[in-house]
Amino acid sequence: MIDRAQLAKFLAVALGGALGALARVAIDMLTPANVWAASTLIVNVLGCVALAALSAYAAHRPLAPLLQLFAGTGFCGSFTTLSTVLLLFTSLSAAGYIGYLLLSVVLCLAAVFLTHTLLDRHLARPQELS
Amino acid sequence: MIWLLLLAGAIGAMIRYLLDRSLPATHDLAQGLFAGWPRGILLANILGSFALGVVLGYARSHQLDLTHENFVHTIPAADRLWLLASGVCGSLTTASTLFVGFRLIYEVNKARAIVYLCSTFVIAGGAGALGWLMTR
Repeated sequence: MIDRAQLAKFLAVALGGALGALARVAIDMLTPANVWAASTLIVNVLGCVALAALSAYAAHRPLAPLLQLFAGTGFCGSFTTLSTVLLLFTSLSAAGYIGYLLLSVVLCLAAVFLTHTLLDRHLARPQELS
Repeated sequence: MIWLLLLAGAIGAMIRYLLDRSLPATHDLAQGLFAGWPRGILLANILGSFALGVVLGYARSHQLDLTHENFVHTIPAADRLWLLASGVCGSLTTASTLFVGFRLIYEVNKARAIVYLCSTFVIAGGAGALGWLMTR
């Protein structure tokens, strides 16, 4: 049997996942159709920034597990995509495909490491008394 | 269409969550290079890429154009495939979790992290190509 706490976790992931997919598709539709690979790159870099920020925050401050599941596992996980990137060989030239993969890796890694470094330093400072 | 896309996105995320829960990262150092790998996420990326390969190959062999300019209903068969591709496969696979996971492993062991990232690209990319070639 699934207890209520477990059900809440599933719902948090499902809701975040649904909204993440919608946001990804919306960005895809807003970018010109012939450069749809660009929208995937944009979405993946933004999602990497968001998830890196969330994980840096969670390392220093208490974060509700349900919020982590909704925003991290659900939203960021669904917002970004790897399958679309890997299947681009069906529409790009070999050189274009390799270049796109390298660009994706470099930009996503830069997004993750920069976000983490900046936020980690900021959050590690003692909290100001309010 | 929007409601179906929400449903498809939720399904993809739920499958990924279930895989991640049942195959979490183990920190058993006896596993050498594989220690700390989020195996569930790796599996989700492999399965999702394979599935997208199958869907895109099928669409190509049936001359179905999956590009959507908006949410307006086009051809039922193309719509269903598009929901599987953009909704389920797109949400099942993840780049953010992959790269954030890479950073977490990288803090502990750089070589292990690089092997994890390369393995994901090679195996999931191979799975996608296999799916595409099977149905093309």
